[in-house]
Amino acid sequence: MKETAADAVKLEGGKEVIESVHRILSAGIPVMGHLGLMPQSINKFGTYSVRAKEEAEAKKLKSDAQLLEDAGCFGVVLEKIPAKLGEEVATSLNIPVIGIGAGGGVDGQVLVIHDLLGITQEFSPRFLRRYHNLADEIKNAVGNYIIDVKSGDFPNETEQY
Amino acid sequence: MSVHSEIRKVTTHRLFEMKQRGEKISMLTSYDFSMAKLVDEAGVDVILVGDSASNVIAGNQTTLPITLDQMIYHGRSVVNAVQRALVVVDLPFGTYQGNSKKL
Repeated sequence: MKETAADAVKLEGGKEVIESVHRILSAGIPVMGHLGLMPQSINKFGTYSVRAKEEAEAKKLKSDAQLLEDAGCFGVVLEKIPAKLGEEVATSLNIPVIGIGAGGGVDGQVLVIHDLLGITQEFSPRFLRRYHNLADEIKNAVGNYIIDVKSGDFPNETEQY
Repeated sequence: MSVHSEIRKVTTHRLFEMKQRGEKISMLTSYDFSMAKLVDEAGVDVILVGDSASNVIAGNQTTLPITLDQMIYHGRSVVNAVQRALVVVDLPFGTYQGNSKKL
């Protein structure tokens, strides 16, 4: 991963991947954890719905989060879990907890930039706030370009050599 | 550190300090140079080169198909643009699960 010269890596899972976490950390690479909805395990979950609503899964999530902190992770992402659980984990850990659909009680938020900008249109989970409707703006701009090319309006005299 | 540079790179330690003083952390994904440059200049604390590139860039249904080489390409592209934010790259499916010694 050092080929990218990035600062850190993130991986999904708790106890199941803790050996990998140790191995990467011992190589001197900072690691961020990721619990709750873990999209790489979609074939195991079978659904992208909210995780850890049941006590057993919530309990495992809390113990996994502590395990990741104890291993030396610098932070944890929690995806699509009840806000109350997110706050509980953030309060119990010393390292920052970043949420995506984990409520306002965590230490920070993460979103996919294409969702925030409204480039993606079909994806509308409750946790997403769209700050822009870039999809329509892009289509309008491209549409105007096409009209100008077809009509011969573009390029005009000042736009050529 | 260059004397001309006033940009203070975000570190994992700084994120820890932010939590301690109750300052919320802003994090967003980016997958390419042009977008990462804008996101970084806007002042976000952490940029995640997410394996969600599999969905939003490559058009796959899940994050499973994206490869380590593809993540390296996205990671490199983002790192080339970023001056301030902490850059975190997702390890793709299959590179760390089980007893893999790949890393």
